[in-house]
Amino acid sequence: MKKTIQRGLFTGALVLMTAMTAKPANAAVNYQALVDADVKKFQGFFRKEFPDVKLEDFGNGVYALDEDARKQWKEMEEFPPYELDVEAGKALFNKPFANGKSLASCFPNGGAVRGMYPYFDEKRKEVVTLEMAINECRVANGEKPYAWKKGDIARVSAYIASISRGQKVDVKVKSKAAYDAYMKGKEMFYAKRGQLNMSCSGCHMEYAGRHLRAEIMSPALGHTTHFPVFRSKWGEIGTLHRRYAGCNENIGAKPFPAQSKEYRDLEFFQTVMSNGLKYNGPASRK
Amino acid sequence: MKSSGIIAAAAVLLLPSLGKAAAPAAVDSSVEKGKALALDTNKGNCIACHMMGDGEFPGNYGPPLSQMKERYPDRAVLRKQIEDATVMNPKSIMPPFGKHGILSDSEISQIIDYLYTL
Amino acid sequence: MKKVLSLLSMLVLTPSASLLLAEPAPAAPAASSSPLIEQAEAARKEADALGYEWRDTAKILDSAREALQRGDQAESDKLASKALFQARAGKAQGLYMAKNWKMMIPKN
Repeated sequence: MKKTIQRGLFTGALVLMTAMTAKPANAAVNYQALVDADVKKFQGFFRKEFPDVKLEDFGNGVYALDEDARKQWKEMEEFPPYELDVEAGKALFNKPFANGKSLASCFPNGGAVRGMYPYFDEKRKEVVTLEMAINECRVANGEKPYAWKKGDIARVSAYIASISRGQKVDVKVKSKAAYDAYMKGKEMFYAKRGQLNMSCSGCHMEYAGRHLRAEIMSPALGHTTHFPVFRSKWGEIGTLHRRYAGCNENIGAKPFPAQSKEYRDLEFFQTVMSNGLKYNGPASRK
Repeated sequence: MKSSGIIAAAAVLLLPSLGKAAAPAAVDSSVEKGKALALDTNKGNCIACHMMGDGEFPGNYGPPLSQMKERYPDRAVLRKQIEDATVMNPKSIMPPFGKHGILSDSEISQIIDYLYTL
Repeated sequence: MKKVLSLLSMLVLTPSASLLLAEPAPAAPAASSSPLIEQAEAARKEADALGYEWRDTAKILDSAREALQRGDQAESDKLASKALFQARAGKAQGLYMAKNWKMMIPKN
């Protein structure tokens, strides 16, 4: 009897103490610290899995993991298939709109802004991607937006990526709203979906470097540093969200629209996971 | 007279082999169907992840599909693995071919018949 | 006489001929939906709301509607059932993943 009362009092005291010292919901949580811990764990997984690959080289995907694939890729890079797209992108970037302005008017640093995207816009409470910013510039100046997945949007993105090469990936997650978007992206990355019940992480973490039929699986680390890509399978240059949609279809899931909140949050999460790497787009891929 | 004798002899000789061919035909048909399903990219597509007999460019996500009779002496266990691999391992990358309606029950049976020849 | 007979026979035959040549009576308008299709569509919307609709579900449902338009009820029901199955499976997958996705994070 005594023990029960004692136990009850003890529990009660504990509860009271917790209630008195518990932080209110909106107290300053260090979201950046939480995210940094995630990044360390995520990158640690790949460093352990592929100890001979330098951190930076993960931006080269499969070519960082497989010697034969790298040889073929190096040969392709002597005459990069995306060069014409970069030139076309430069022209589009500087081409005057009807109102006299151009894409160049919207972007500082001569357009070398790849390192600024994606970012969480605290006022709008959403993730802003490079492609989104390109089209918002056009619309703000009375022009029609580009189609999202290929063509001119990819060319402009390729030009911006090419003059931004070497910029560090350093995406910040400072607020709760930003962290919520980050967590949505994280959930999408790890959850299995589609008729084939697969996740991004399923293939691109545990099975990175393995063969899926004749293809080698790329590591998720470095996934978003090198876009847009000239993909041999497409025979042209395309954006990250185009690839997201293709992957979703491959596993029997209905793709989300390009630049949907879902794909922007995923891009946000994936890019954060590559913090510390360098932007190295545009790139060629199989 | 002679020719009819030869024909009769030929017929007698052929009959046993015809008889032989008739019995295994039903089993082969299931094994053949199973192999086709295993190689079909819209069906089992097993070769995407598993080394499988003489199939070209097999993947290596999963273990090679060999000595299946030794590894899965209980047909029901193999069936369950194909139907829903997440029962044994919730993190499994192997698609739940039965649970998600990718393969029908009879298709899984045919694939198992094929797997047991490996 | 022959002429009269041939004229009479023509008079008799023509209406029968016109009956033969006439279009069949218009069928009742083909149904555009069925209870099973409605059920599958409702389920598809639920899977979609979770973000877990599968790739082919909508297409299969469209095929079910087309089959119904052609009057093939059996085929329509078969396809609608398949779409319903996929929609339910997608929803179940979504509900499970909402709770369990963190389990999928690899342990270093």
